[in-house]
Amino acid sequence: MSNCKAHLSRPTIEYRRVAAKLLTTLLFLGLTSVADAHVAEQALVMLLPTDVYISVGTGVVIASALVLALLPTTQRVPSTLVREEWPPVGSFSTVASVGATAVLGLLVLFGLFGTRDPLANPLPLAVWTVWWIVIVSLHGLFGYFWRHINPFSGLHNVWCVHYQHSPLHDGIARWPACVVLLLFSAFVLADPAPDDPERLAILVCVLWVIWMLGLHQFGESNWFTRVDALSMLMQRFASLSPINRNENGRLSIALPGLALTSPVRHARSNAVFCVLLLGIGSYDGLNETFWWLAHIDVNPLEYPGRSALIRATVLGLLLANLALLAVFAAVVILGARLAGPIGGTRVGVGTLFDRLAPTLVPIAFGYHIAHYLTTFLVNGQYTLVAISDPLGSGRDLLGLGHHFVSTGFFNTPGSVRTIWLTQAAAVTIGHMLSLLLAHRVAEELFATRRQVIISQIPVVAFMCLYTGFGLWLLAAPRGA
Amino acid sequence: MTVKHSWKTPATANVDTESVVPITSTSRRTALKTLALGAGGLAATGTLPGLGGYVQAQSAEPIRIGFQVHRTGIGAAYGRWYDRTTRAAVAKINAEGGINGRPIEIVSEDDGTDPKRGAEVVEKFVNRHNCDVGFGTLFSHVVTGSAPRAGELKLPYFVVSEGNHVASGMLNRYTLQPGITDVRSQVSAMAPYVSSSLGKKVTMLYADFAFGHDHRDYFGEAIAAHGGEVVANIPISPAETSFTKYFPKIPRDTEVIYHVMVGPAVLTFVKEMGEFFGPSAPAIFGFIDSLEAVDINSPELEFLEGSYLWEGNPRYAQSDQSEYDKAYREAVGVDENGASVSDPKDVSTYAHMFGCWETLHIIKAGMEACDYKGVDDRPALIEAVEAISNIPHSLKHPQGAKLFNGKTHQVFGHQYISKVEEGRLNVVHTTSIEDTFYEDQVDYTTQSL
Repeated sequence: MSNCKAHLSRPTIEYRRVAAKLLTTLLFLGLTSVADAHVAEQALVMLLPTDVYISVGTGVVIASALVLALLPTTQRVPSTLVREEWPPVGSFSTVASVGATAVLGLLVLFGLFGTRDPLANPLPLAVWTVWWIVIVSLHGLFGYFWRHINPFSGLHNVWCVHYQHSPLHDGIARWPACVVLLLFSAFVLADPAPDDPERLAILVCVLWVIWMLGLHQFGESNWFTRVDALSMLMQRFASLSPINRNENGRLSIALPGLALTSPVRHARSNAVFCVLLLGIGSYDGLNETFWWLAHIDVNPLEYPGRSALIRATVLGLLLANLALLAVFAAVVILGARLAGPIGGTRVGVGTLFDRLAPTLVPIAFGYHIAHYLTTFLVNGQYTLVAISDPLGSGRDLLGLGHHFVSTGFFNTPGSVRTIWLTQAAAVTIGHMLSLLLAHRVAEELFATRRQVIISQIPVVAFMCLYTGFGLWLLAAPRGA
Repeated sequence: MTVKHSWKTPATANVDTESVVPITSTSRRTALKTLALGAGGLAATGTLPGLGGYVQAQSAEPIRIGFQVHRTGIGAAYGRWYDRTTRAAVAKINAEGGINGRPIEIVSEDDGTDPKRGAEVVEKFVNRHNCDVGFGTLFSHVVTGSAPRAGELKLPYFVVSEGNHVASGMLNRYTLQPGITDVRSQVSAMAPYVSSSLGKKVTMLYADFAFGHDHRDYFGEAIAAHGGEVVANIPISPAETSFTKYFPKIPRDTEVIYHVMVGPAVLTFVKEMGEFFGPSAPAIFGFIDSLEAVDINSPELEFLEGSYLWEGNPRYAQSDQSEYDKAYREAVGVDENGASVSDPKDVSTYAHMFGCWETLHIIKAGMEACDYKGVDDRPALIEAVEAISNIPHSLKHPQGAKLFNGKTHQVFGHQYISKVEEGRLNVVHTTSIEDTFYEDQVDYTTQSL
């Protein structure tokens, strides 16, 4: 017991505690995010006038569509094919990436041999809170920094410095990434224990080996832009960063998401990938609602656990994405028909689909932020505690003192309202930005102002309905 | 109702209140406080579980307790407080010398509030972690999913679930619930007070599935035995989110509304009911389960004012608070309003989580009674716990005195009825233990070990 007493009698270092409190507070204020249905929070959300909020949010999106329609046509800039160059990373990035590999290795060891508690083991916290919530979300602010800190590139560059990679057949396009994205989502949503430290450690090891073999075979440019769906997801979120770096390396502020309006290679598979991003994000909320549970014959008050719903969840995931693809395709076809031909030639439906689908990315990003806000608020604290005491040995490196993880913000009407409105803002802003980008794409593709506006009518209707749907997802009672 | 109990009451069956650390009456309060602070401190610094296990100066081989905890899934909000209470209890017990001089090591495994995973967790406790016992499960479906495997593997499985599944006889001899009372006894014990103080004509509104049906059946039977009657049973669809269409079905002569709503719509239900009745509402009685962790002291929740709630353990420290409750709160880090000492808005699951604390003390008592050495003594541990009967009110059992029924593997204890007054819950009635009795439905001691 002497060790225990030593910890108790250790003098408190006030400044560390203050710093830790500040860090905790920043965590609360900094970002917004999900997973566990917290009944108290849900009960309080249901007391909020969410129907009014939903109407306001949808109204804001409608208003922004009207403003876009009334504004004079912006100067048309001929779009050029975006070249996804993949210059070799510098030595600093190589070192950072090799360091990330070492950190990942350490985390895997924690996963295999550390505590079995997923909220104390550093591996699940690092993967699902630090990476999936924080790092992925920060790409929307700071651009694609994953290329410098991913745990693959550095080692690959050292390993394959003069290696000639095989080309990835052009016909394969980015379809592998679509498949990988669906598989990853199925794991997140349907696996019985994605948080289990040991299970996660094994998965991370397997994926790491596959990733290294893929990089070795096909090279970074192919792998990271056509197969590695997770890097592609972050690249697309990164395009929403307002920080732009020009050819001279100078930083400037740009309209978030502008890059999404330019044509890219492998446009069809890229477009489907972007629609899947939104479909998966939407289904991730939908599958927890009373509405969905009723459709799969589950009593929402007697949730049977994930093990019992694997097939239903995977099937729902596929159906939801197919449904969204079909609806979005219908929106595009309708828009093209309404707009009519240009000089006797219609804008191809395929082209319109390929160019409009990437403009859905801001909505997917808004959903990511909104959906994971609440999880972040709780698991961010567990992460701090784990960082402060990574070995579970009673250390207090961050000076947290007697820090108890709190969910008090779920228990009072005021804080629940603040959280909900933050989530709603993320969803609504995402839709507004999507509308703006879609409008810009239409301006590039259609010849007349009339055609631009008419072609956008189905898109605007879709966006408004989707705003209502997204806000409804936030307000709907959840049983999972 | 005929009560047929065959309590085992040998002298050795009583749980000694302070067997490990003798405390004189003059120094008792100080000692309790010291213990509590020590336990809280140890829990807070996270000294117990972790990489490579616990940190103990003692060289003895630890007692490994597999903690089946709802870390993720729908039970996570409860799991957090079960975890916190468990850590505090283990810190206290270890500070007192552990069990037979051996420290407790908690091996936490998340079951995802998932019955299938629950069974896998039980297997891990036996086959991978070499745990001496399993402990801590709350959600009923996880208990019923896990208990058969515990029985097959002959792992003593101590649940903290309050389900009737243990006492109903559907499980097995290796499953016990010695630290928290079951829903049948809780519901039955409400009838005397409801009948004598709130009214005899009761309308029950309940979620239309097994949970609500249990209340309907148990309470209906109990209120009839106390001269009252259920004038209407109104089942409500579990997926319902607005309830106004149900209220006109409530008979006009209703004196008491007994509601059993759970899930996210519970506050909406109570609010709409308050709006329907206005100031002339009948007495409203419900269970706190869905208001666990909700801070009721909020202007937006004023519609709860004046209603009555069952509490397994009073959330707010009462004027006659025992020294045990006070020390227990300090150890777990809960203030006099039932909230975390580090965040007054972080309201605990106070009505339930004491079950972890008390169950761990029963495990200790059982192991010490049978001089538990290792996994070969698991059958002896079951017999030792079955031999426990009287459980006095103490720091080990801060919720109150209890009686353990060795045949049904279920503990019985006091229940509390509280009234919401000026945003806090004030206890207006404490049931006797006898109020909670019902006829034995099983005798697990006849099953082989």
